[in-house]
Amino acid sequence: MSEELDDGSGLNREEAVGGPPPWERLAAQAMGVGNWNGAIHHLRRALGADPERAMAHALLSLCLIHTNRLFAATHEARRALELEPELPEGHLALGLALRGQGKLKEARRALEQTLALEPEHTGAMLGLAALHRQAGDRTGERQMLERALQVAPDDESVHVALGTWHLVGGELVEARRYAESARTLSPDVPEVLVLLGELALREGKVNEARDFAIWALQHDAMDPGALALLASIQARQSVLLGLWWRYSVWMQARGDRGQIAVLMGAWLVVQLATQVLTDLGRTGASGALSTVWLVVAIYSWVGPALFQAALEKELKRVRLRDDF
Amino acid sequence: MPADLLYRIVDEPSPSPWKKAVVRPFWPWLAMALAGTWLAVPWFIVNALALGSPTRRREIALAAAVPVLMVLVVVGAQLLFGLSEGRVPYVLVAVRFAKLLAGYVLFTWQARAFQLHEHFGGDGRNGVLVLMVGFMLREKVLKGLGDVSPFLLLGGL
Repeated sequence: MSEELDDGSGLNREEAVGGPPPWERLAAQAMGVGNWNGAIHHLRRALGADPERAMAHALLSLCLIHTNRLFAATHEARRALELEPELPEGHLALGLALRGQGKLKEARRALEQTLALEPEHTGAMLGLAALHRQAGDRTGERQMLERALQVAPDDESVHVALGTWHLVGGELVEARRYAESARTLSPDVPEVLVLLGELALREGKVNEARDFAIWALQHDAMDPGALALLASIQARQSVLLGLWWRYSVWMQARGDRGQIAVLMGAWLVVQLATQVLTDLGRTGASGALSTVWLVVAIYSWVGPALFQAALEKELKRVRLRDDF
Repeated sequence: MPADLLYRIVDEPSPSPWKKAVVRPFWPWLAMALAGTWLAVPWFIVNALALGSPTRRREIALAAAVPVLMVLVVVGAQLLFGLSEGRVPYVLVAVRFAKLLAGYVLFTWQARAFQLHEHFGGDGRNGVLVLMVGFMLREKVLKGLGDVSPFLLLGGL
């Protein structure tokens, strides 16, 4: 039996010989089960020991993207590329981090650079497909996904992306075909389960959709797709919560700047309209407008708390699998 | 592994001796709307220092610029349109807009740092008492400032 390393990593010397350093390997394991914060912790240790390791910076960037720390993710990706300019994972991480911040042109450049360095990089193709989707170019998205399918016919992520593409277009039969093929390839992967749940929800099978969401969360308690699916299910059961959820999703898609512009723009319009109505002697209408604004403001404060309470009730059903 | 051997990620809050003064940024933001900049601006600054957020210099600069920004709106309106009685309510809307916009940007920046502060086990004090006291003192403070300058009175809105 091999002797255990004394660096606290839990790996033995045999495991640590060759390949990535121990902390980085533990991080990769954590990433494999969607434990992003665990992976971040291991990578901080890896970089504490060797701050010049480009791959660790790139992996850290990918983990930070999953925890929505996009500023830090961009910083880490750039650091990885400073240390190793031709590292595909560095370009991939930079592209995905920039896409998350709505910097689509720069993101495209970084993802194309990933493909230039590694022409069969499925992650870069999926990233580029997502960029097409964000730009509203469904044809470009489809072409990129077909290309990814040719390169990696056994990658369930590609099948899921194609299924989602058909689902968004309302082609449920095709969406179901890709969802089932993804399920055959990897029956327990959260993104597959989420697609199956979304299909069930679209078909009006709310309980089935809920089971898929909870099943996905049992594999990855932080899976944003599964949480969003569960939230969509909750939103369906109450008109007011449904309104808040749709508004919230719409706002989230706008990023920080967009949200500030929308909210402050709405505030300005309401204030000016109230003042104009007062000047015109229509004090009743002015008062009504102010009241409506107040009700919306109060609901936007209370709504998230109600929504969270409903979601927490659902999440109590989740039992994490042993190796999470 | 000791904490000082861990790699520090750029968005992580720096250690701060004022950690106990951290509040959820929602409170200074609400103070901006309900009590006035006289309370909200220093509160945002103290919170930036207490959180040790990576954007604290930017936060402090913007918070300090808020009263200046409000005065500039008034001066700009005076120069462009003149401050006749009918226009004053609209100028006040513009002043409040400038103040709330800056407050919202500050809130957004600090909310990110606060999320990470919570992630690393930190918590936030409840700011409701400060807000209530600020709200009750608002009139007195504004009257006090009004003796100094009408612009500062506007700044206290």
